[in-house]
Amino acid sequence: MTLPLSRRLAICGAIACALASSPALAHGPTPQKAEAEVVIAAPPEAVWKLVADFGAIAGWHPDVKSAQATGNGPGAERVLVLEKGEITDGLDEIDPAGHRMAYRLSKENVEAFPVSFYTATITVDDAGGGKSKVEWAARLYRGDTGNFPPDELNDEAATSAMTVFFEDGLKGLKAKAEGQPVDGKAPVGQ
Amino acid sequence: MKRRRALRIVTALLFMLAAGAASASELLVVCQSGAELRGVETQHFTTTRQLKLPKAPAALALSPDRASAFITHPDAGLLTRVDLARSALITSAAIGGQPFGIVADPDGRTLYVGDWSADRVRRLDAASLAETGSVAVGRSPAGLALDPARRELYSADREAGAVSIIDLETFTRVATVPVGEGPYSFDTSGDRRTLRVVNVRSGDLAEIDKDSHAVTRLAVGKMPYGAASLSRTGEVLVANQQSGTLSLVAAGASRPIRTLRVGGSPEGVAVDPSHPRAYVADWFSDQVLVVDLDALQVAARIGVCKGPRSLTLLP
Repeated sequence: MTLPLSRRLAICGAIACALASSPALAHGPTPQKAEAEVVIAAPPEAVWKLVADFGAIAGWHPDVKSAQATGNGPGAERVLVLEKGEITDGLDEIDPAGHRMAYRLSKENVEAFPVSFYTATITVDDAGGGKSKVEWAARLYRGDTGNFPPDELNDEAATSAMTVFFEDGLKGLKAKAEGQPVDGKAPVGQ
Repeated sequence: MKRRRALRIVTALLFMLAAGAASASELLVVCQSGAELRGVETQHFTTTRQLKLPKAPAALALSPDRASAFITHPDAGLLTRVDLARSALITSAAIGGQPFGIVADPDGRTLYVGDWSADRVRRLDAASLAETGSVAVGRSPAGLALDPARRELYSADREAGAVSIIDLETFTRVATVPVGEGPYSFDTSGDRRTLRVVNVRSGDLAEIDKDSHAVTRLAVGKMPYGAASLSRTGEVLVANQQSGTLSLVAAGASRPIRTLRVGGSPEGVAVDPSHPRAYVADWFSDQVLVVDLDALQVAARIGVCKGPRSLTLLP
């Protein structure tokens, strides 16, 4: 049985012990919000094609070193390798007509990403004139869902990490869809 | 006794004044991020009250005489009592732990509060808010419901995948019923034979026979957080937070009969007993959706405070 971080904190009674322990499994009762959007000079179909390829996120997200997915339909999982470790996403819904994808964190790792749980949606809308508007939004819970989280696992840390992840990702998506280098990396074949 | 009755009449009069019409009711909305109790009358959807609350309020229960609202604050270990007639915060008691689900006993003297991280349900004196007992339940108790006729209390133990049944006379857990993954909240409309709970992880609505404890599960959308049944038709309206949809499920059917996409993050649900209408808290857009149940469409979106999660109708 894995105890929530808050309880292990109480048992250990020392910060050193809490830092050494593995992350919480349960998420607590107070959700936070993160959202970002971008306008891309590429048609919605083209942008959606990039987004909908669940395991291909490392091809456009500069913060994802590599990713591997079990598929592109509901129930598929993808392992994201981030700078400080791995997390796993589970794909809940994919709506090709509505250009909407919904997924959730299915295996957390608060040392790699200080969020104990999130659900997220990414939608691609037609912005007119051959452009797209992409919205990425999440509902998330801080890394330590106890009432006395350390600074690196509190609401602000979680919201900030998620927002940065979205903003960096949308910049990368925009660059990829517009044929620019993603975070300095030359597009494939150039 | 006389005083209480007089207070009730005054409360009713004040409410009629505030609502501007005798036929409207007031919707009470708890906003978690905005730390506010918002009142909206249901005829013209104007704001009736805006009361600042302590940090991160979550769930709300009305006292049986409708004079008070009790609100939990899991992040702060607090329980707040609001005087609804005066729209004033009366007390904020530091009960500790992570108080989340709450229900008031119709006896008027007792409250039950789930402690999310201690895996217990606490019994409190409704007047003093002092603890008079507690009972162990499964991991992470979320929603609570109470059947006054059976004198049973139900706890949706999220991480245990089960509902605990607590006998109120002895205040002991008498049964544990596995219901699915992530049971979160109950349809609190008080069916005599059936208890309904939504499972956020397995994405279904579980119906528990209160006599046999047999469980039937109906698939709905992703991460259903709220449900309420329609007394007129026996259908159940479920808010699917991750899908951004509402499912209108017919009792006994094997799948949702109708689905409405509303977007955002729909969560708490309340059904209006006097109109074919439901109200749904959309946590993401900071709105309450007014849903026309005959047409199954969103009739209006009412801007409220930040992060609305739970709501209830004050008749």
